[in-house]
Amino acid sequence: MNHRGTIAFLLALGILLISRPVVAHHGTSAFYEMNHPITMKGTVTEFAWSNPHVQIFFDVKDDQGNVVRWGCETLSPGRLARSGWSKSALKPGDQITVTVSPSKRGLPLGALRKIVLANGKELGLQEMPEY
Amino acid sequence: MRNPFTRLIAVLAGGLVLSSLALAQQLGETKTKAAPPAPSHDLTGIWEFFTQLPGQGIYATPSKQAPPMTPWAQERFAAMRPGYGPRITTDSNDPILRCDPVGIPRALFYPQPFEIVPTPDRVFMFFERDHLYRPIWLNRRDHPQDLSPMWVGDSVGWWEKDTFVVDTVGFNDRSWLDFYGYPHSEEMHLVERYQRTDLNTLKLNFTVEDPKAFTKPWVSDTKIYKLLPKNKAFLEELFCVPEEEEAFGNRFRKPGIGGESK
Repeated sequence: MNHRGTIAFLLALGILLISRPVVAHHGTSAFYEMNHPITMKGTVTEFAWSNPHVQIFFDVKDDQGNVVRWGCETLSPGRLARSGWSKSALKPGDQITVTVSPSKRGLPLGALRKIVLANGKELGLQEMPEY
Repeated sequence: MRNPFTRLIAVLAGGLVLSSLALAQQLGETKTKAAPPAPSHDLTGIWEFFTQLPGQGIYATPSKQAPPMTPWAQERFAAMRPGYGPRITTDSNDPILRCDPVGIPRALFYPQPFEIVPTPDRVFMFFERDHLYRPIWLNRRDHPQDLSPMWVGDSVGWWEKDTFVVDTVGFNDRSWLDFYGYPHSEEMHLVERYQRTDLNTLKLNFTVEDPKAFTKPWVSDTKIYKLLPKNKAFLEELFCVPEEEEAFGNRFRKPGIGGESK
């Protein structure tokens, strides 16, 4: 690829990137790194199906084998119910793979992106049906 | 295609096509079906404002450009610390965080559903957020004199061809007009115009006239609502309960700000 080709490619890539919609998520962009999600494996310790936002707490082992308790927040119970969740979607002891937008302050807190259960079932945040 | 400029244009065009495809896929737009036509003069159903809907107006405020504010409104606006938009902060003083009702018109562009229930003399709107409701009176065009200031105001409605018009006054000045912290006064006059463009689609354009707060009327962009299908057509009990707000705040908001976590 010559010089002009490289510029053209980068310009096209730029268009691709800036065309992605920015979806507001409960004003959490001030608290969390929305563009840098991380994925962890953990064990559920608490599933709080409550307003204003459902909360999930889970233990994660770090590289040294220390257990760190993480917490993540997500949609309201109504919006989660319309995304296919229920108050019994998770229970303490469940093994989960969690993707969150982590705290900007480096705390073990995050805004939930998705959860994958041990059986492979995915719990996402797709509330809007197909039209 | 030897001309480098032509090649550049071709690559850019390709990028645009790919971008559109990626966007459509992300929005689940690829399986869009043609909806049946709208029933006449009937807005019955549970509707939701999906922020990611193609063609949706801006989330969280009437339109991108607010009209110039009066000095009265500028002073209020400066004191408001929103959790959304260009002035976003973790240390918000948004009144809904202390469980004040979200109010009208803000409830109209809240990403949570509302149900429209027509009766012979009123159309009711029931909002999931706050379990808020508003009656829209069909049997009168005038507003009562000496209204007590209200969170949802006094609303009257009528049909103009295929448009349901709602005219509201009698607001208090305690709610924020939007998520960005724009204020309104007790003089606010809100006119909403609803059009059901097909069975599943409801569109709203509204105008805020508030000479105490804005030097010109604020004309919204078009807000689009979708009818929820049967398996999603329900409203949860979403009261704002101070105890629940405090518990959530202690676990997430305060640590995020840098305050103490209980």
